[in-house]
Amino acid sequence: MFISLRLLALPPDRAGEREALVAALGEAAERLRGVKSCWVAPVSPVAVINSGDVVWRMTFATEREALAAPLDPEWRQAITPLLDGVQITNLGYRIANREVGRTGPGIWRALVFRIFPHADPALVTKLGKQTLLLPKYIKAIRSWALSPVAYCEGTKTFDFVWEQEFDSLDGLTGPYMQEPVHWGLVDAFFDADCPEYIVDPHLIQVVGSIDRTIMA
Amino acid sequence: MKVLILDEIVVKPGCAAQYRAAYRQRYMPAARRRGMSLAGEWQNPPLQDFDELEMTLFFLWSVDGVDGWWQQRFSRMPDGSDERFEKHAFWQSVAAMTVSRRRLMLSDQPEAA
Repeated sequence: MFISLRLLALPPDRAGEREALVAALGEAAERLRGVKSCWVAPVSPVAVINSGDVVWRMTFATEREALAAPLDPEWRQAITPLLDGVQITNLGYRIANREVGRTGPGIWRALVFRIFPHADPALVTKLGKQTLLLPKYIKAIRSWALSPVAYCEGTKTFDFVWEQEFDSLDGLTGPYMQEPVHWGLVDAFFDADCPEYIVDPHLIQVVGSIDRTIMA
Repeated sequence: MKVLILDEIVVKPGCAAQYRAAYRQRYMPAARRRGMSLAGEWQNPPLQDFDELEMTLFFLWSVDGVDGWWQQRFSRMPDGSDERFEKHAFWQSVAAMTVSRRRLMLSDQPEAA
């Protein structure tokens, strides 16, 4: 399974087109070759960082198909005009570690981050291992995936996508933040006060509403 | 519930006084603004600095619970900007005097064994 995740930031003169863009992209994506599933949604107005206005996540069987999608004539005809003036962060990643739990309405959240180029590889490995403790101890996380980025296009580069689903935003702002494994262990990699600090502070946190799991 | 934050810093021989002064003068005031209370500071070897030896400095801080912990973590400058760059700048400024460093988050142990 290969994911194509695009975060779209609208130009000021298109700020009112968010809902229309969501609808149009969802419709156009249905006609793209290779798309196994598609979720496109407005980005939550709260609990987000550098996330833009619209989140667009498509699943393909392979990286090859994900890379071929923008070359599809349907893309050029139906999607390219929709993205006029839109700033895009485009991430491609293969789902490596994941667990899909219960489905139903809720929120999907992703933390997209980059490791400092000079980071000790041992610390990067430790970050990955300790991050996987979070879903074990935070029961509010229904589904999750931690994936290394295969390719990235946009104004910044990123290395990892850490996705979760919760029943509601409260799961993220409450149990996720209160869990000692989070603040007492994993956060050190993001904390400028800690010697483990290896995550570039320019990260993305994106949240959107879901009707059912999008991670199956 | 108190959450404790322990800085354990091994300082190069002959640098203890300079490191201690830098920490007290340039780190502590900002940490206090972030809601951190100094609970103690210790050193090993005890009582005296030795030019020939590495010195381990311990600074123990206390914050009010998990919310207090996140308050110091997500702290902002007076102008509202993210303070993490100032934190990083301090640690980089003393890196040349540092052999190694740990920051540990601590809590009371559970009463039940």
